[in-house]
Amino acid sequence: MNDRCARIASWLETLDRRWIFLVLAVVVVAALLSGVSTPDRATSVVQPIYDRIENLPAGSPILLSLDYSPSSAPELEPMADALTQHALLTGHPICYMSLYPTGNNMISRVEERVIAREFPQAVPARDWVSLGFQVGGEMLINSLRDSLTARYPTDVTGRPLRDVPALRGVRGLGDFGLIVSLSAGQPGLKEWILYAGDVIDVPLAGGCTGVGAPQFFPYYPLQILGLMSALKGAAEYEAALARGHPEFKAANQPATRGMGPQSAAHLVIVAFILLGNAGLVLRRLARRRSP
Amino acid sequence: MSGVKQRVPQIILTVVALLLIASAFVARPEGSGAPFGQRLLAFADQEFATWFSILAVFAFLLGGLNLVATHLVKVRDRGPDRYYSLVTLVSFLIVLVIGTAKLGGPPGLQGDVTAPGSWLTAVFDAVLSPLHATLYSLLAFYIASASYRAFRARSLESSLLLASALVVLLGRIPAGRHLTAWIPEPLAFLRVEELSLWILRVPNTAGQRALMIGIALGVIALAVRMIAGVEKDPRSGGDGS
Amino acid sequence: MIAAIHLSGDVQVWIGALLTLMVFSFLWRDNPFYKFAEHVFVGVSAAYWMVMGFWTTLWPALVLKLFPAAGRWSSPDAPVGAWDPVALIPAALGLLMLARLWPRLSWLGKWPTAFALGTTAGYSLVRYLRSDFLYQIEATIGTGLAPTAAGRWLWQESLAQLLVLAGTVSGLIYFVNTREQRGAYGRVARWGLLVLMITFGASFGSAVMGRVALLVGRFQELLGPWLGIL
Repeated sequence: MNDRCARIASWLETLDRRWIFLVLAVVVVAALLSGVSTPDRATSVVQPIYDRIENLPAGSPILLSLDYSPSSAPELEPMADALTQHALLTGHPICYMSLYPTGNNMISRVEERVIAREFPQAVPARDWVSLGFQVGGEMLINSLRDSLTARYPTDVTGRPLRDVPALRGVRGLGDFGLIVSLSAGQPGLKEWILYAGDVIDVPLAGGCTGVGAPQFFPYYPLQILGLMSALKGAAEYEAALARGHPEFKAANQPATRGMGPQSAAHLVIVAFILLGNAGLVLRRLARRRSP
Repeated sequence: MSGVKQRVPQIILTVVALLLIASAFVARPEGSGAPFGQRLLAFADQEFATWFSILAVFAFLLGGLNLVATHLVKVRDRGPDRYYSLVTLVSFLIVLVIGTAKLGGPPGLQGDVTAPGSWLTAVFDAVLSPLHATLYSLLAFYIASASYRAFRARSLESSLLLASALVVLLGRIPAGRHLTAWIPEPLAFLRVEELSLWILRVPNTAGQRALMIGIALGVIALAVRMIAGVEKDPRSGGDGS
Repeated sequence: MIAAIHLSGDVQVWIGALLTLMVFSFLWRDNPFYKFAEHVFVGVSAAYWMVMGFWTTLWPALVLKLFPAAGRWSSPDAPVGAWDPVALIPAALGLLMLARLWPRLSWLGKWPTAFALGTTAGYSLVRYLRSDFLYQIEATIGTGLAPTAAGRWLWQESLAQLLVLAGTVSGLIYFVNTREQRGAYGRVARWGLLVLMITFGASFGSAVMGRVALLVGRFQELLGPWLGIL
């Protein structure tokens, strides 16, 4: 019995990590191919973002800052898509910008994937505008506080901001109905809180990756009105959107689809953690029973 | 000469920092008749942020030039990885040329550098985006392997860490919801999805808040030390290098 | 499943897929394919950042302010501004920064560095004090420890607020290294450590979620646009 415990414990302790890689990969691929997904429901942390957009005065512009790069796109792009769909469904012009160098391309992807395909009637500069990326991070946010034209005299296409109907009545950040930062790290949501939300008292919400999520909960609800965290946060927002706007149910819901393989991977990792601890227990049993 | 080398940077740092701190407590001037001090502080608040951004771009340029110099040396010295250095140099130069000249997009220099159809966007879609995403996705495999090897309930502290991680891992997925869906409504707070949200909103918030307050005090202390000139820049040497 | 594969005809998709597989090959062991992909990434991303920084920031914020007529090259419809002599200051600071490339002149590079440090210190001191210190204290105790709604005492919210307060204070006590942690003080510090362990566990669980989502995304790209299975 001791020998068997010790042998199993040794096998578990010396398991080649490439087996773990293989099992994880196979499970994720299988889950993707099976297409299993379960609709989610919005929690108390995500729902306020949805409610704010629903209750904004008609035509209030929303600033959406896509502060992420391709490495965080699987988690944050579904949030960008859902917010874009919601804003256009409710008639609020969207102003895109980014604190990341890859931001221009990330914004273009949202335009191609969502606006061009699902809202062909949307008119550029009237229903949405892209300001693009500029270097500076929190310094950029600080510069935009009182005047967008201090750093963005034109949008990415070269159109002067005074000629953009979507930004009529918007001088600085405080004139937006809502600012949402989808943040992969630094600069991101924290900088928006420190340099905009807490300075000029503009409604601020955020989306973040799973890695960054725990650090933003202390800001909720006093400094940010809501937080979408990781793919689950995006799936919750899609669920709120599907409930409030039935026409959205037919649209692409990448976050809800992605939760199936996400679930499978989590279960595999939990299983490996428990297996590792089983090895620990077996090792202790073997030691206790040995003479 | 050493006085100029040491004192001028400190004077710049202190004056800039004090102007910006003061600007946070002074209202923006409403018209052109505002006092000089108020206008100076508003100017500092607005313009210094832009100048910082410009300097950041020069830092990018410096970094790029440094990268080229480092890899050129490797190629020249015929080191073992010289062919890889060549790959870096060639890919760097190609992207630099097509991006600076805005090749491929709407009319030449007048177009957006990342407009659909531009060569830079093609490079982004075909090369940068897949590489960036895949390099980071490798971490999923390593986090699974690290969890298996290192996550052991050896003590109360590690057991708490493990339990908290397991609750969050299971509570954030639909499968976890099904796992505890049988718990009756009066005890719904014990369902794993409610527990995971409670962990994030209560103990996690407490711990993160303690960390944040500690870090904030550290940032403030460091800023004060830098402004007062008692913080030595570890990169500075006696010869000003 | 093999019959369901529809390979993409798009060159960009093929390049992306092959580079993805090259990086994944590192999971087996380090190899020349991975090194090639890694070095391509370094070169491409460095140049991309430089190009984006130049066209999005340096061009409008510096070049056009010093040479307004150049605006007609890049944006025919944009307003042509006036020459701004103030822009000479950041231009000078930027050029001083490049002096670091010459050892004899590298000491000049300290001036723009000092400006950057002063800017960061000046902006961050007030903002961290407000957002990460004062507002955090307000969030912990300022909203009251006995919240009510429609005259009813929300005991669950009260308990949560109390736990957050106790956890925050004990966590801060744990970090104080200038006093020996023993006796009652030590017990409070230990409670703080336990709260921090729960925090780190939650951080780990969230981090796993984040990383797994990236992996799912990559496989979606391979199985979807490239192989046409999804």
